Amino acid sequence: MKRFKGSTLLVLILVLVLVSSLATVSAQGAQEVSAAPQTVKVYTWWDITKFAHLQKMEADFEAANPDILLEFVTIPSKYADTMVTKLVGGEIPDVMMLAMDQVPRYAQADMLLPLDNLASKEYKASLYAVVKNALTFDGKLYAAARDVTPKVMYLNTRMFEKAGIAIPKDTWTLDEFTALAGKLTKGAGSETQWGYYWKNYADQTFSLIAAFGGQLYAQDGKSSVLSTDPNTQKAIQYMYDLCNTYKVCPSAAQAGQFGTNEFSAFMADKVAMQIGSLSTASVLEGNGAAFTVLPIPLINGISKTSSFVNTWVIPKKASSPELSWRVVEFLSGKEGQQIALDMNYGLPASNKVDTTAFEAKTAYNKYFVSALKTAVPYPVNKNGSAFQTMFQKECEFLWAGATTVAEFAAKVDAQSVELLAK
Amino acid sequence: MPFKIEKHKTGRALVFHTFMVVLSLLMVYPFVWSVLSSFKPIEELYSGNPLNLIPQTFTTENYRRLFEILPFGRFTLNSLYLSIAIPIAMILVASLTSYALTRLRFRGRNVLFLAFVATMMIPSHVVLIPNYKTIVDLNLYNTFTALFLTSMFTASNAFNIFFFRQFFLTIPKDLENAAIIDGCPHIQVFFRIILPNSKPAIATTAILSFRSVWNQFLWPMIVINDYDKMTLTVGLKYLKDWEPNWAVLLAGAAISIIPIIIVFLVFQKQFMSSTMNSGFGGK
Amino acid sequence: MSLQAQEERLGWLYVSPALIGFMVFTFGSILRSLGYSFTEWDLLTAPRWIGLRNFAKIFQDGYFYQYMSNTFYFVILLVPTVLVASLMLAILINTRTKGITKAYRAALFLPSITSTVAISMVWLWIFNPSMGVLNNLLLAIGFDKVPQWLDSTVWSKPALLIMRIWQMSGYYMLMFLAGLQTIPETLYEASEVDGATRRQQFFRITIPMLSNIFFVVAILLVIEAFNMFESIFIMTGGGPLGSTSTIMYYIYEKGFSYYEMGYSSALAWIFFILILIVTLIQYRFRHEQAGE
Repeated sequence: MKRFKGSTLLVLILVLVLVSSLATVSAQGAQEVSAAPQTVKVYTWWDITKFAHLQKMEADFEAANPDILLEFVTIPSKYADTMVTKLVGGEIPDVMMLAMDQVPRYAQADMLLPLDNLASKEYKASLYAVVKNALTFDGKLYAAARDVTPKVMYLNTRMFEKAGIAIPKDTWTLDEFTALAGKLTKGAGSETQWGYYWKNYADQTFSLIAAFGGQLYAQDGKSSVLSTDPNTQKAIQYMYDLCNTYKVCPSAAQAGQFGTNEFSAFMADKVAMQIGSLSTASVLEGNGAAFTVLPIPLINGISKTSSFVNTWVIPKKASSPELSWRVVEFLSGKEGQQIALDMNYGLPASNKVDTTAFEAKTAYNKYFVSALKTAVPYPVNKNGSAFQTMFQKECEFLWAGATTVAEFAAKVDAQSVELLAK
Repeated sequence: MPFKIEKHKTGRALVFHTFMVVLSLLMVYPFVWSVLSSFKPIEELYSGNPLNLIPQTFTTENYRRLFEILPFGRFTLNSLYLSIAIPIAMILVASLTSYALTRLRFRGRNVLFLAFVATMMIPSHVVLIPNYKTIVDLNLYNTFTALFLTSMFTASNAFNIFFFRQFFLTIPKDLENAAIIDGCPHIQVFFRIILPNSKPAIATTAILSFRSVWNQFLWPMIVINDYDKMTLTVGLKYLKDWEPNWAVLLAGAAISIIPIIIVFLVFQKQFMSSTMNSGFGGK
Repeated sequence: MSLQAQEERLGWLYVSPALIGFMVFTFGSILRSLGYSFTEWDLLTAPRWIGLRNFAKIFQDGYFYQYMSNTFYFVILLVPTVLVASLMLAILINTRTKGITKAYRAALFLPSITSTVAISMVWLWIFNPSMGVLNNLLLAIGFDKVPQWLDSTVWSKPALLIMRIWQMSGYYMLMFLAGLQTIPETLYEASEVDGATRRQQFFRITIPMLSNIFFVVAILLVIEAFNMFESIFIMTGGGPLGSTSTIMYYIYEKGFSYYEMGYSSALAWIFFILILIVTLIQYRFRHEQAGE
């Protein structure tokens, strides 16, 4: 009996090994049978199965360029860090998305292909100044703009309705905002809801700092000014109060239980207001959330916000830079930007794109365009990504109330000196 | 008199069995709960009573979504393949090395053995970064080969070398001596005499290595990037990054858990005796 | 060539695959790791020599001390608890040999079979403060206030402890079981004749006879407790606020999240030496104990 079992087992194992190795081989084989058109791999943190405008861009591009097939690869989380490992490991995309704060880091490490020779003068001239700055490092153009997104405030209309509160006017002040957030924070246990939330990303935190007129870095970029700039201090104190004094914000863990997306709690009708960009609208729509948009509340009579540029870059070691550029040119040029705008995904970085149709679509779209005009660009620094990582970690403690604003500011500034000095 | 003793005994037995049943249920509960809950729709998971084991609405939607997001079928096959093929490679290397260390006399053999054993002390994180760099430099990034190499030549196989040596030392030399005198080369002695007589050791190391490779996480996560080549444990982590829907995550966990539980139930005896043997008996 | 020389050559030939492989992936790596610990390296550019700066930074790093204390928390609480629990379980299981005991044994061993990653996902949901099984159970029993478990800086470590104890006890129980089964029944019978109580039997026969297994399990447990990583990675990501970060987690974070490879290597070496010292202390203790 035992012997019978033993040899059958052996046969079973051998068969299993054979089958699975065949499966592996056949999968590889299928990949190697390449189609006549060349494939250009585009890495993004967007999921093409869920983002209609990416699909449209893919379709339009392939129609106009029958010799190229686009293959989108999604890296859903920790994009910038994961891409570093991949690039070092030899997995080189043909085109990849990159957030503006990562451009200096990648450019410095010589991972990006300079685009000066590929981009036309016309293209360069068509960019808004604020965008051009984000794409340049050390005087060279390293990235092409995907879109520029100013921040605005999203309001969950269902929650406002349920609480019987009217949507405020677009001249609303910060005090009104705070009061609303308080009114919309209630409930206990699984019924809890909150008035306001923002995910602990540096650019999200910065948008409120910008709203107060504050800064992150000193003029020379060698240290941070959290403890010296009065506006920045006010902004940080305000955010601290939102979490710990007025208590209108969920903790990261509390918000996280509704999902990993930064807007999951909003979409679950648990958070009434949240700062977002134009692309947020598509995400919310896609998940059936009911919302409207207002500009950032006025502070001292001014509504100010920050803008963030997302880019397309070509890795230095990309196998065919010319093909890659054709894709980038389309995605970041007039056609791609128009599609993005039409489908509510990003404001164009190019002044050649017509925004009147966009503004006419909804009552609130005009806020995006007007916000862009006064927006402060997200500050970029050579060692920005290292600073951001440290900043985000320290912020975690501050929002949780584990440290004071003064201690936090001092600690960040002290560490910034070393991080930004390199 | 005898009646009294019996009642006493039954009383004790009752307490014992009740206690053991409760304990066993505690151990088994998370598995049962997760598998059954993976058949609940997400609304029920969020708002229903989690203590309900049986789903009110039975749905396979979570599994459908699971396979839609990531190729979990592929992951399972990869895990299966690696968990069987890598231990085979490990055992070959370990047993051959141990054979040399026990049966062939050469200078430095004891020092070598101690060196191998000493590697078991080293936490895997110490060699993580250098090995990563080595793999990248050798152009083996994102390959199964990288997984094979590190499993065969790091602490996990050092244990196997140790184990085989201990075992070989218990095999009496008379078996081989006859063959050697007849002029049989060592390599054949190894394959024809030693190995066939080492079935318990092979079984033990095979099971322990199978389990360890199946559960490997950090190294495969760092080295493998293609969904084609990913294993189940790493795939689960990516699933967590991708999908906020907890019901789907539980489905993913269930897929990772069920195969190995089935393997365990079938090979119960071998699993448990392997673990028991790895403690090296009472003395 | 003489027979002796032939055998020597053959011996080296047979160990050469393992030797070369270990050289590359273990011995060589350890040394290179030491080398990296003296550099500043972000993976994208070449390593830059900075001498002992990493080590100096580590000793000034507040997070290092916090994580060190977390690590020791886990080791100090996990090891004795699992030791005692698994020993007790083994003794219980060993008292009967009926078929159903085999089922108990399998059930108790089951948790250690699956991958920590998969089972951590399940426990993550069990520990969910509002929708998880555990808190709902506690509320149903009658508690008014329930801990926030993985969201709380106070309860996150105990939650991880609970999960690990659940997972590991059955595994080490088997090792003790193996040991218990080697204790000759005659010893117990003889002691009964001498009038020994169960208690005396336990402390005078069982424990001493298990000393070797005890020692092996203790060493393995200490190493496993120090190496705790996957459960932390999946269940808390080191949080909240670093309350569950251990040195192991810090090494990974510094290496593959912050890309400070030099710093990470320095941490890894300090950690390595620490484990070495602890293991040596255990050996020493054992040596002295055995010498009694």
